[in-house]
Amino acid sequence: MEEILKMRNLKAYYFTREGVIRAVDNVSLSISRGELLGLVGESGSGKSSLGLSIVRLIPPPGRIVDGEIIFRKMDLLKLPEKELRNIRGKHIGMIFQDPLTSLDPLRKIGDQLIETIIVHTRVNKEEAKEIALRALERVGIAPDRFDDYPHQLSGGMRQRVMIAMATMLNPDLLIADEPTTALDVIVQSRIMDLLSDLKRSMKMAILLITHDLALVIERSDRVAVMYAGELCEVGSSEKVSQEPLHPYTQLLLESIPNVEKPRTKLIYIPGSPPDMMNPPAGCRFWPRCPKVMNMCKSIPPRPLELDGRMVRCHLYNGGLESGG
Amino acid sequence: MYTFRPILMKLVPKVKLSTLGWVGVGMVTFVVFLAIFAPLLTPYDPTRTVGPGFQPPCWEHPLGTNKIGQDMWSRIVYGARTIIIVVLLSTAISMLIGVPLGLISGYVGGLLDRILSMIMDAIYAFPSLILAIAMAAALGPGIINTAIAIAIVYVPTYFRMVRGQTLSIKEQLYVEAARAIGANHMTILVRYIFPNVISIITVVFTLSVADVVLTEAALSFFGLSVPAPTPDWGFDLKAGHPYLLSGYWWLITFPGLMIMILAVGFTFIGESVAEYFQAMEVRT
Amino acid sequence: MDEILRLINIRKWFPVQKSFLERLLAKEKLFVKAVDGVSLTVWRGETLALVGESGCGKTTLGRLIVRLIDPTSGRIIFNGMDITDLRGEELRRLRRKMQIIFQDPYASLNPRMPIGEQVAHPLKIHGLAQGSELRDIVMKTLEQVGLTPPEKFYNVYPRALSGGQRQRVAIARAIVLKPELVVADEPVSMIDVSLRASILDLMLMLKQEFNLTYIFITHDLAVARYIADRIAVMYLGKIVEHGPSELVFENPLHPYTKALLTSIPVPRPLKEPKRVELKGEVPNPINPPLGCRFHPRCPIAGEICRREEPELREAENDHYVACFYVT
Repeated sequence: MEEILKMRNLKAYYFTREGVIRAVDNVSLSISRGELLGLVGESGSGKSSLGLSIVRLIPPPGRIVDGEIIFRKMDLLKLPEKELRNIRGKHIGMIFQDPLTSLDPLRKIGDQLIETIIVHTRVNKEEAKEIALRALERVGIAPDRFDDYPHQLSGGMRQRVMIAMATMLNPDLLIADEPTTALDVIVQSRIMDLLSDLKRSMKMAILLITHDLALVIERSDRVAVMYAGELCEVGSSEKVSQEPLHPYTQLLLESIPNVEKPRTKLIYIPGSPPDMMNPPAGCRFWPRCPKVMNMCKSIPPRPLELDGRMVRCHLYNGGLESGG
Repeated sequence: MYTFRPILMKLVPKVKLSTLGWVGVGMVTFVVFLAIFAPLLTPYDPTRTVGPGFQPPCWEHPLGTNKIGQDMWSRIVYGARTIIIVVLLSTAISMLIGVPLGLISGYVGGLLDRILSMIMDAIYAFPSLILAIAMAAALGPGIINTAIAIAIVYVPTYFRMVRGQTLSIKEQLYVEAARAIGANHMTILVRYIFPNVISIITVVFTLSVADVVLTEAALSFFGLSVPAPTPDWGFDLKAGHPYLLSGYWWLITFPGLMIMILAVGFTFIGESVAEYFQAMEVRT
Repeated sequence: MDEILRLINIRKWFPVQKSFLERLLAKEKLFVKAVDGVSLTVWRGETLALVGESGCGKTTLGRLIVRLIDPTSGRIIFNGMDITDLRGEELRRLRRKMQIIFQDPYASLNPRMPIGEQVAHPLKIHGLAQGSELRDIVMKTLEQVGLTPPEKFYNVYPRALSGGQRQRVAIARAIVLKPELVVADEPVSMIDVSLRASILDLMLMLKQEFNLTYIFITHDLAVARYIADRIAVMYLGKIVEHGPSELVFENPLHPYTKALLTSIPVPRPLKEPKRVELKGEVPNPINPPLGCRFHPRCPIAGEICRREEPELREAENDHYVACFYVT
């Protein structure tokens, strides 16, 4: 499959008065056309910063320090701001947790869609309206909602409008940051169905950023697990869920209650996520890791390619069998 | 492990100041230093004639003498005492009235809140200096009376800010949690709401205190503050200004400079404190 | 079984805030019918999960039970005593027996009170302990909720703690009075995923230790299944199904429960997902649909559902459902 986005050694740090927060540290990741990649991590793991870094929207005092982001053979980090602005919204769509913050409350949704289209393309107003209506239809919103204001729509419908806006210009990549966290499960399930449809019908690549491991495993083709600014495991969601390699992934899977299995003993991860200003030396997970070895406390593990996936853990230095 | 912290220390929130804030602290400390150590710093009684009048700054009188031969340096130093006492006293009175009323008004709400707010708004609507002049004229001269006159002007400022803050804190989840553990209204006000309005009181205090300095100076300029021989910057300013054209520049330069140092110092602190709390709010 | 709490046809209607002009023009007052006729019995020693989507009234019901808000109508019977109209001192004394844990640990602790004091305060308010005895109880309670060593936390302010630690403080504050009933309102939904399980297990452990009865409010069915003995499913201010956890999860009867259960993402699913699709979204609780409240979205609704409102009835042993089409 064709890789649409490739990040190499991406580093995005926040330079605060108190110190440097390494929100994204040496992340390499790629997404292919027609693939739904789930990026999962706890709050503060850097997953949202990673999403924002891709389109260079990381807010100050954050800054991309190093690395490259290749999108359609261009390095987004070297692109002038003006060209980048055209890429955002046209070639890369974005949706966020709270659609209300991204929609102008004082303007009709239809007008907002039309304006976005006109900014990015050379069509006239009638054509733009046609595109907008088609996009709304695709996300299941009736045309008579065209002249509604955002507050007249329910939370689920607003998120649909956001998806329509983010996808109406047929972007190659959609970045969805916690798109369903504010929504109820039934609506969440329908929004996820919609994203899967878009992925299939438009061959779109989707980066789904969420804290919900169950959702990611159920819905995505590949999973990337992020911990304390680093990717600790990347692989197909089948492999990751059936046989997780990294101890963090293993624990995370055991720690979420499963609605199909009552009262299975939950295992939980001791301690809490590290202070990102002073992350532990060596592997960032070692203070919480049940399989910690001496070397973990001083030597940062390097990403290993195993069995078609990536894992960053000293357990597998000697191959798959060496872990356990 | 039980660390003992005096109650007063608990009430003063920890604040990180900017550089400008520290400059302000330096300026204010200078004036407070003069006020505290006045007897050690001055060779003369500030209320007595100690030499010839209108003497320019010289070795014996570093800031010169005024019309009736009082030593200006001594008057400046003791004047610091007067203004600091008035500022502290009036601020304390404004707080003692404004803060509890604001807390109760915001917490109880209803008719009481409406009546109190109306009264406070009425006071607030007056131009502050004119109100202070009217109050001072009605109460008569003297340090206490001046402090009361100024205090009344600033009561509504404390009241409004504290009431507003109380209204929003009242809706916080931790206040509901306090109800859930069985706390009564008094406990909720004292232990759950008051500690959380202290920061706003600090901001109002540091921002309004520069104003208080200027109001005091203005009152004494109009002869409505402390009675005559008491050293007072505003009074000296007024006494010296007719002679500016005669070239007796030192009569008004030094009192004016002192008023400026104190007012600007407080402003710097106030801005810095307000900025700090704003940043805190953004973070949490 | 010993009954600890009984709700009889509880309603809570919040008046809709309107501007002066709207009030002049409007003929009738509008209400948000947050809880609209709930009857329920809770047995001593059990964990009852109240589940439902946002806006279904589960949080309002929780706050009604601990008398933080007053019901519009209906009665609340606690330990055989009608507590609906308790006021003032009597109500404050009742608080010793029933406590609540809130969802947001970042908002539920007084930011200007050290942790030790937060936990000691309930005991002080009710005059239950003082001096070194009070301190000992607080230390022991901090230890019981896993804030160890307690000395480290005693003088610390909430801002120095993580969300999980704050929620432990809130739990300590609730159990320090040794209550009989604890309402827990989404206690883990704002906690980091990796820490949720430990809070849930802490709550299960404390339940054993103190013989607590929990009413556990959650939107997360997996969490409900993990912690609860019995489940009550709410939709638009009413309970549509309740029964023992096993029965509700293995054999959901109400179409809404079925839709909820099949919508949750399951890691490593055991069975192929057969999703029950629903139309639309939850209607406005100001004007809930006539008849069965669920009928506009229901895949099996018939004529009768539009006209009549189904009552809860026992469909199988101790398993109740409010639906005409369930046999």
